[in-house]
Amino acid sequence: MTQNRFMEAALVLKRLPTLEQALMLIGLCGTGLVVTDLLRTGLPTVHPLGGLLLAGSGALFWWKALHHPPRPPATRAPEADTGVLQSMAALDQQMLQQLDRAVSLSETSSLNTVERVTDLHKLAGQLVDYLLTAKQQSVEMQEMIELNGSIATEFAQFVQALPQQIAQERDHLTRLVTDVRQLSSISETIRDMARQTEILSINAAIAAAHAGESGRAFAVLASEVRRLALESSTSAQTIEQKINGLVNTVQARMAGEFAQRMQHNEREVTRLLALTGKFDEGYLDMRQFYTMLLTAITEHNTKLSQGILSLLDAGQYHDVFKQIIGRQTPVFEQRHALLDHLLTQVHSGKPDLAALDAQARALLEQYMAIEDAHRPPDPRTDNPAGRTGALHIELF
Amino acid sequence: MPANTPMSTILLVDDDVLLRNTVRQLLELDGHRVIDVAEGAAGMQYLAQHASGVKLVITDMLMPVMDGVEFIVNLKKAHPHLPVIAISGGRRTLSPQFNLDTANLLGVAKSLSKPFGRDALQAAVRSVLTP
Repeated sequence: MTQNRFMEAALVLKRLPTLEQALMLIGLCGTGLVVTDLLRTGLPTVHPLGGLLLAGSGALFWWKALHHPPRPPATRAPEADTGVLQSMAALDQQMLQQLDRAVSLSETSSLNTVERVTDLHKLAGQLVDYLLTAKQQSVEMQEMIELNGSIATEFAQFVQALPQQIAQERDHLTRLVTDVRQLSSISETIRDMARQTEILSINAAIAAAHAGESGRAFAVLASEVRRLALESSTSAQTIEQKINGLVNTVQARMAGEFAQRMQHNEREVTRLLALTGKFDEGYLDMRQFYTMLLTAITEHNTKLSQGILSLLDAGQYHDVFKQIIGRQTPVFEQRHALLDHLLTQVHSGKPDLAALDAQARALLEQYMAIEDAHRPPDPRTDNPAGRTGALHIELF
Repeated sequence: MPANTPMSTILLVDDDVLLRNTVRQLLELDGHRVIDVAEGAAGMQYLAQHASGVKLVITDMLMPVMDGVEFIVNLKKAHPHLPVIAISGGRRTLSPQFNLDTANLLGVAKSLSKPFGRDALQAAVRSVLTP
């Protein structure tokens, strides 16, 4: 009985402040000595003052002991002492697992971000290099187009010279027409001579009928016929000369300045047509160039856009990290409150460990339920369609 | 056939008949089976029916109807894992380098500037086909 009382007193000591513990320890020792002496000799052998102090300490001890009675054995749950600690440890383990997951997600997110930013940097570098090549290509094409662009000036000069050339050709044609008209008038003279010759021949026929009477008339007719023949011969020579002149004029123009001008024009037209062809090719090349450039840049920007979106996706990891910590914060507060409650009860000497254990278990179950609602789906076991629950974060 | 290069079916797309025949013969000498067409639309049509058998596409950049750029873009969308080697000799003011840089930006595996020798062709094909 006394031993049990000592053990209970020792338990109480653990819950008392240091000064009180010292006094009570002295009292406990003094009481022990007195009891031992009494049991051994039947008389008190200690110093009176020491005995008084021991008695005072002992009185204080017993007063404290009576005011902090140990828990009645009937109401104690032997496993509750460790049960509350185990529940708290289980809660801590769950929270640590989630913290590990949060750290792992943060690490994955960082690695993912670095990898995607590196990819984006590489893509951006490719685009810069490509644009430099495109710029060089553009400069070369611009130079070629400017070179071919001189065709417009040459065309203008060629067209400007054409009216003067046409006027010259018109003058030449006018002269030719005049010459031809002159030939036409000579032809008229020849036709008149022919008519007169016909009349003369008729007159000669009539004169022949009167040949015997008027012989002189034949002489006159013969003279007229000779004159007409002479005129015809002269006209024929004139016509021949005119025709030769026309032929010479045409030949001279064909072989001379006119011919050279025509040949020059033919060469110019051929050259300008070739330049026009190059101009068209340059236009087609430039159209192809811009089509390729725009297509390549559009496709590349699509890749860049996808990369940036992917980077934003990676940011979800940080959000999940924040949510895990956010879910733990109120649990931590409740856990601290539970610990405070436990300490208060221990200090009071009336710890209801079973109730505290129940609270710790409830807190653990509450936390596990919250985390289960936010658990990422496992395609092997989860059925998203049939899944119930509140919040759920979809990662990627 | 060069070492470490398994025989494969290769789709060759080029409007230059002479070059197409030459490249086809070179590839066939290395043991490959070659399907050749003259432009991108015909290439897409063939792939729509025989994509699974083709292991590599070699395409010119400047072609009528569907040019190399449009062909590569369509190819990457329809068959993103099919490797492509781009070839180009340029045209008039369009340099081969610009054409091939465009192809590289579009994600082709290799690019060759015309004219190229058998060694360069073999090396490019080997580097793309060898895992």
